[in-house]
Amino acid sequence: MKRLLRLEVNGDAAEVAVSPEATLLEVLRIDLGLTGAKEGCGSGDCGACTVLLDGEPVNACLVLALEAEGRSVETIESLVDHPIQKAFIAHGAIQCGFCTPGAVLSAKALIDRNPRPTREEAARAMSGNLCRCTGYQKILDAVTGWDVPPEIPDPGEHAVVGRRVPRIDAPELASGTAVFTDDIRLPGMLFGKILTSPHAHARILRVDTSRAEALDGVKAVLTAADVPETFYGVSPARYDEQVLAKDRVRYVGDEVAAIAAVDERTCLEALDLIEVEYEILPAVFDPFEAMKDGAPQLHDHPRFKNNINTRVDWTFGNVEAGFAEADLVREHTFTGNRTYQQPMEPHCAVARWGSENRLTLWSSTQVPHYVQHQMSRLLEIPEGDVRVIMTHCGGGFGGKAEVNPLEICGTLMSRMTGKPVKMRYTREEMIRHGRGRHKQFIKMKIGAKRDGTITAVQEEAVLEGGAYSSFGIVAVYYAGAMIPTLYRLPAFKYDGLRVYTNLPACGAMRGHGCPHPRFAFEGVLDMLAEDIGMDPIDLRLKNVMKPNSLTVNELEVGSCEMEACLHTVRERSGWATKQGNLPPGKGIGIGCGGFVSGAGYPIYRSKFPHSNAMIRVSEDGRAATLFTGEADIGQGSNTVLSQVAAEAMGIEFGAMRIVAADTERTPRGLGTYSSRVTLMGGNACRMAGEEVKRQVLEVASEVLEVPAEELEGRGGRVFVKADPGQGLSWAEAAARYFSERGPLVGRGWYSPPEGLGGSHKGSTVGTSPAYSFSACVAEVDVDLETGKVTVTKLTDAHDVGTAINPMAVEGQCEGAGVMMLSEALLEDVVFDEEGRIKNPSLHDYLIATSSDAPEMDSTVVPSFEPRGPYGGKECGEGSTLPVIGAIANAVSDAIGVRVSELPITPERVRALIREKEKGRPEEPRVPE
Amino acid sequence: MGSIVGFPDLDCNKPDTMNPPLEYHRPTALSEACELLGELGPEAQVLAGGTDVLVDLRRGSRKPHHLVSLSDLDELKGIALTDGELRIGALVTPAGLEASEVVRSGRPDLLDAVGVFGSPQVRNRATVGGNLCTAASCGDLAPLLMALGGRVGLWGPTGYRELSLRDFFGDHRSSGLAAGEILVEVVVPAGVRGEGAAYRTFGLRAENFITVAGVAACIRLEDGVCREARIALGAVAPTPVLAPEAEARMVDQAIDETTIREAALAARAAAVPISDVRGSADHRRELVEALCRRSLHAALRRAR
Repeated sequence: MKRLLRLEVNGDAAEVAVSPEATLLEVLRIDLGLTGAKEGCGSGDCGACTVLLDGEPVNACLVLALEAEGRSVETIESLVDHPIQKAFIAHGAIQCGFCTPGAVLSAKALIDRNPRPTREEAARAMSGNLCRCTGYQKILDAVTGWDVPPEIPDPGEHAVVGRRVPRIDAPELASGTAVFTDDIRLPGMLFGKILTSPHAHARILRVDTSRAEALDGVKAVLTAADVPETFYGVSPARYDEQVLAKDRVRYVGDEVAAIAAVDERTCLEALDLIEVEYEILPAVFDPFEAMKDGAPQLHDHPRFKNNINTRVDWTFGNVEAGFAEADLVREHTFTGNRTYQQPMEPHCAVARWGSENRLTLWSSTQVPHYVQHQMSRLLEIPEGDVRVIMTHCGGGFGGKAEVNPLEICGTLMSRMTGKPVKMRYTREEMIRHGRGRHKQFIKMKIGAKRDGTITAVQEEAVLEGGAYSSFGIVAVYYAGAMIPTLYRLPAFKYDGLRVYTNLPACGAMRGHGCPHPRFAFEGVLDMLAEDIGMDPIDLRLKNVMKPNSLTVNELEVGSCEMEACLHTVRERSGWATKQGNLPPGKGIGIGCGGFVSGAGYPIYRSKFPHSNAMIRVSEDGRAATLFTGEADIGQGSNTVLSQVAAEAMGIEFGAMRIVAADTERTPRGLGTYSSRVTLMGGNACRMAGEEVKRQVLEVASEVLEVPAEELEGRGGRVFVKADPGQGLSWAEAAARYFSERGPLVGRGWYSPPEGLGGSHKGSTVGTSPAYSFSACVAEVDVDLETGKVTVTKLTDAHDVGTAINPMAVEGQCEGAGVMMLSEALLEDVVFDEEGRIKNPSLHDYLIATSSDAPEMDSTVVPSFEPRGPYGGKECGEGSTLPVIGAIANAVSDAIGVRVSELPITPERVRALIREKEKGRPEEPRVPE
Repeated sequence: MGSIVGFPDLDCNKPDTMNPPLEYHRPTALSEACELLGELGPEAQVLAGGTDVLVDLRRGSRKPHHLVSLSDLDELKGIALTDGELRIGALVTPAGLEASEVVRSGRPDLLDAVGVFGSPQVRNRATVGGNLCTAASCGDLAPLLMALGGRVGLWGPTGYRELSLRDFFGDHRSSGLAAGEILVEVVVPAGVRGEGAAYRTFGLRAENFITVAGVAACIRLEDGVCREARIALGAVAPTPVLAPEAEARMVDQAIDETTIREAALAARAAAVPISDVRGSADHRRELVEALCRRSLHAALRRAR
């Protein structure tokens, strides 16, 4: 029975009839339409739903709505141009923006009672507001400097490129008005939920949905019998998933049936009424067990014999001779961890099947085009009949880089019912769906001369894949392909195996396939340095990649300032005085990284340009709208692409508007994966902008009676190059263009150079127009008694080409630093012996809080990439890659034992220390 | 609920849900609340801050038919120092403890437990009474309150009674509340001369964590000799527990590094932890030893 709830919301009296079980969050979001408070976990772990209850921050998901009777609630909607909102915008504290409303409210409550918080106080006050994007640095800058506007240095060479402009959508995100998929409510909308398998491996004998169908409020029930039989997935070479399990389930969480009903509660009741009879089959969870003869087979096709999903066997150069030539050879084995992206926003999709048999699908996705492509394949309708609209997206990190069951089942049930259907994952469901990082088991061997010159490298990697391919075929190639990009390797052998197991599928996660091999490689390098008696940074410098090189595996490295990165971190970290001189329990370590600036080839074979852009200038010439198919999942690409377009046109950033990632309105972009958007999208936007500028200069040439070649457009003016005083406003020229010639538009596109890569099998993976480089020095404190590792400082340097928006670049680097710190120390998806996840929540799967974020010193080294827009290339993934190695090397330094397993938990550290002390009496340090 | 063949009782297959039908009650007096609880019986769940109850409702691990909210019971919201004892109302939040002048002056060591209690949002919402009644062994208030010799005040059909905290905790996740009883307050002796207490805990991240192991110690010194010692362990037994063997190593001893080390070893031996995603039993035992030493050192500093 509903009861009347009376409370004050944002200063106004509100009366709502609510169910006893309703939370304050549901009432705010659903009944009152205040969608600024976000649902990130539903269990009080993430803080995205933070509101102020009588002025104090609380998790609205943990407040029973009726408990708010007579009390005052403030949501983000109550703040308009509040100084703390302005500070978040100006300091670059907002990336995806999903955590922003809650974080802003926690920050407001803090500065209301303590206007001058120290960084430590701020970190503590913000520790209940998890953020996966920013690394907290800029949030803490904003909270501690809320009334001090940040300095905005002169960008230098260009007018807009290189400028620290806030995100183009920052005001919407800071005010809570930005629409994320779960904020959408359409008339007549139904809700959907999926029934999943409780068994890791079982045959489905019978599914009976009759009782569910009979339940009041249920509008559609979907089983394997109702869905297309087409296999789908990521890579056409490995389409191995079906919409709903037909006869077999392969992991705990495999989709079996779906329900659409008038609300989620009815869906959940209906799911309980579906009867499924299973015959339980033997399951296998360990990739080494899975490869044995006689192990349970996940997929029957003979190509997947012994559960081997993908096998890589690469040899470049003369490896045997290389090791024979070496004075020292070091080999070591490493074990990675299965981590999960944990974007703050859970996946959500709203599907509307129109009466004209066309689909509109709103989704929190990184890849609108690939979703469109797969929906078109599965539904057998033209791509033109599938409109995928990416809403604001609360982070992805690779977890939203493929079509998902919510999008597919929601669409099918919308088609069945003629009503829109919203489907969303809970935190637990999204973790169970998986697609996180592959756990890798790596054997890494490096041979070197006594002077440190590397002569050969051999890598063996086994990737625990889970039940389906997802991005795994790419991951296992990347795990080898990127190893030869940072150092000059004369010979390289790589054997990679990606193995099916009865666990959730692993997919693409930030740094895709590379963090664990990089951790292993950087570890063995340190071991070699010790063997040789050489400074670890000197060893790296000895072998460092040079610009304009062809790697041993035939990747074309253009710009490369790896050397400058190493020099920078050495100097800025005070390496010389610390390395080798720290007391027990304190350590310092170096790691390096780098990544592709966009995959050289698309996921499915096609000839069209990878990135495309259109620009339409407003009729008065005062604004320009950029249409791009690329997807801003928080990394800031809409802002960066707008900067590029503005620079190319010669207008101010403030004149830019953007329409992005709507497959019906925007020209195709392949989306956000492989760190491709800045370079590829940027080139397309630059081309479109230059076309606009050319047309504007033509008109201006007629007005000024000066040849167009002698004119320049910049910062909103068109002027004579030789006499900048002579000119007219850009808007005037553009308006005149419209009057005389009609719409002023520009088009641009980008395809990577043809013929990238060698001719070996899998040679497309790792190809790219350009590569980023990075180095990181980590400093750690290890509590030798408890084993707890605290990273006290990260000093990092990055070659990202031209930083088109230095504030956004720093945000990426800082976010990468803290995310990888979190992965290195805290994160691991753990299973029980039945294949069930033991920590499917942000309560038990911990990620770093603001108080875990170390001091960071990030430098962007001068660099220019000729193939990038204004010299720019990627920074979002390359910046992650040095971190784990640096931290692991620092911990090894602190405890005097090699760390070779992730995550570096207190327990593992203690085990290593004990092992080292074996035979010696324990000598505990004096406490505190 | 359908009969589902081969479908074990798994949380993981049931998307998060609340369990209707549910009725909400909001008594305005303590006596009314107790009567209500008596009438409704075991189908009723007391609701204080809700930070545990709402999670359990969502997960389906508690399925009450009635929620009895205490939020109108203002008599459970105060903190007072009377007759050398701190009386802390059951509905006081950790943030309320932190802000309380009475606590800051009369029992500042309590803040050791408040500082590590959940997230800032949870500290604004959780309650002292709720934290104790949930009776989770990893709760941060119980070990310190036990070490301080705290008691709980219960109000029920038979009137008011007090229980020492050690008697309050029964089995895992069950408390000493009788049917129809409500925990109304916690009573803690105010600090006396020569006494010092501390709580040291271990979590996997810097803030906003669940305690993996925690040790609280309270000692009283007379002329450099320890006359009283109470050592309580959290998260290493089914409930928060005292470690009498460890206490015995301290009492009537002049405290030095050796005494502390022996007490810590005894505390380690008293721990009966489990292994879970936060840490193994072995690691927890190691932690107890280290934390016990740290806790005793801090208590000693405060006692002097």
